[in-house]
Amino acid sequence: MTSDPWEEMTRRWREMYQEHASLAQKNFLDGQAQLATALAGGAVVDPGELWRSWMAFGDSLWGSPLGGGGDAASGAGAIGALRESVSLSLASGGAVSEALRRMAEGPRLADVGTSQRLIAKVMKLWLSVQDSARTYESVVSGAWAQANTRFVERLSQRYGTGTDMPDAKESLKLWLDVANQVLLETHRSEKFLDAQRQLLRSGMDFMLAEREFVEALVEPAGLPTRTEIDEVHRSIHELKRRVKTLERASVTTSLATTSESGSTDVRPRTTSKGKDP
Amino acid sequence: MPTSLPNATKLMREAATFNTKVAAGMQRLSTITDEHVEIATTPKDVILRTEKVSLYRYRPLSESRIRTPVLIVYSLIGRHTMTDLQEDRSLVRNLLSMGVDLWVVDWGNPSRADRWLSIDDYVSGYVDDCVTAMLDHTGAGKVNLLGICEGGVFTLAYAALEPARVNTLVLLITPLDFHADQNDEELDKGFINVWTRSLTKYDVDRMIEVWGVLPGEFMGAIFSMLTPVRSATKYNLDLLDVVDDERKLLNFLRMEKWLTDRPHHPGEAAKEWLKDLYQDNKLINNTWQLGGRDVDLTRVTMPVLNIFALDDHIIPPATSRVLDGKLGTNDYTEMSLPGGHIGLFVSAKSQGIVGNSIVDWLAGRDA
Repeated sequence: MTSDPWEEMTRRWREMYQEHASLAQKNFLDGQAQLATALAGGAVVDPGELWRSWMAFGDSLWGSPLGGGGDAASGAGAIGALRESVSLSLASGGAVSEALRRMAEGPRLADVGTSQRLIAKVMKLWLSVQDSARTYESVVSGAWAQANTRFVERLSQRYGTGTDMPDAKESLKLWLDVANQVLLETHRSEKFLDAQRQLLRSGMDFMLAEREFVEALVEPAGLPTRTEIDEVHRSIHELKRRVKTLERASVTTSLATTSESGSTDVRPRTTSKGKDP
Repeated sequence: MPTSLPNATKLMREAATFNTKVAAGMQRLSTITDEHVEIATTPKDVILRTEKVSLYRYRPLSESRIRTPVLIVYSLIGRHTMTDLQEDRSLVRNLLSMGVDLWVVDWGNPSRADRWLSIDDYVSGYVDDCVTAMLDHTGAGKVNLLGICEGGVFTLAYAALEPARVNTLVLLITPLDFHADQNDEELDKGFINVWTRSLTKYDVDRMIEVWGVLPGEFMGAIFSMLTPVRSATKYNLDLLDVVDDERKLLNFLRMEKWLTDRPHHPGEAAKEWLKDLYQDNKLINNTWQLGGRDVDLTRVTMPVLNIFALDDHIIPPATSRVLDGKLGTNDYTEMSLPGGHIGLFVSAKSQGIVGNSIVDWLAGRDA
């Protein structure tokens, strides 16, 4: 125990983090052992590839909203981070996906393998996000390729009719107009909307599984979980509603007892006043 | 045969001019601080604070012409400061200078803690609290409501639920028939309608389960898809166009300041907004309920002015011009104005037009 509460708190947090990191590492190694068993019958997986995928996952986990407090804005960023991660491409083996699927969806035993199952579930969904991101990016890339093609066609048309080629400024405007048109068309296409929706779904599924995993880690340490805090907020919200309803009922009752006053519009009075800071 | 190989001298001259402009622009940008880019500077006093919501009353800028107070109710997406972006581009100042007693509600910064706030909490709760405060302070018997975009839907719902408290209703760029974009489909308009219909209710629920809110950044990303190339070239082309003109640069930066101020949309309200309205179109079908009460449009018996922008790519005009014959009033006016969703408030061309139209209309209906 030190005399500096801040230092003491940071020390305890650091220890707690290290404990959790160790636990996560142990779970991973246990999961590897299970994977090896699961794969022993046939499919071959590259352990190095799996390790890289795990590291990529770890980066996302500790930098993610649930690792850092569950802020909604960070949550929005997490999807972008997923898509941008170069590491995404490192763990794409079908055998790994299949093994993870079996681990995540296999029979649940009461006291065995919960954390391994959760890790497998998170990793499986991570791969699913990767697949969705690839599909989405291929649709978007297709749109840019289409824009290039149309731009060249326009220039060819000018060339074919003997029109002077546009200068730099005119070329830029033409290119931007063409690209804008193609992107607008793409955004409304079924292909794009399907790919975007699938990416969104995969991302949401991943983040919910990630939350489940993190909550399983922090709950034994007595730390509040996102789910618990949401429940608390809901309770407070419902209490506020009840108070407002009671306030209004109370005003209505007092109106009924003084109905001779003539006023027909009674609401709770204002609660605070002041100058604009 | 066309011969248009670039002239080297001309190219070098253009490059030099361009580089000079960039250098001057960088120098100018480095001297500008946040204080130089103030928005929403019209003086106002806070009258009510309830949770994160604040009600302000603007200080008058001229002699009173409209006695019934006017409450601006803006959307939960974006902030009301757009109505007072800068001194010479301000609906607020235009209305004040024409003698309106003007009030505005600021929704604050909802966070995940506000996940459970519903549209009914806003309409029957906060808007009603604001109206009560206005009546208390002014002694008026009713208020005029001026709803913008989603705020227009809130005020329309309030007018249907509490018609006795509303003298007139002004709707600005308000989506009303969320499926009408399909009747008048234009490639550059109504992507949000298309996008929302591409989702299932389950998708919407999952987003809110994960984030607790509809994150402002997420909506910003969706909005940027409405003008994909402009969004992609805003800082490397548009900014360069104005960077050597201080007045234009500050206008650009003020707009950027407003754009970056994207509050999160509370989760339950977002679910209702996307599912009940964008997907199921309950408002115009007269099947919408708030807090167990019907939002019956035939109960909107006060005069209504509905203004929409002809080049609005966020709220297509077709989705706004739909109230004729749906309300319980014969005093209904539709007004289409040139401009876009934001341009209607901030463009140099529209200055005065919107404010004048509103005040002229209100003047004949003042209580």
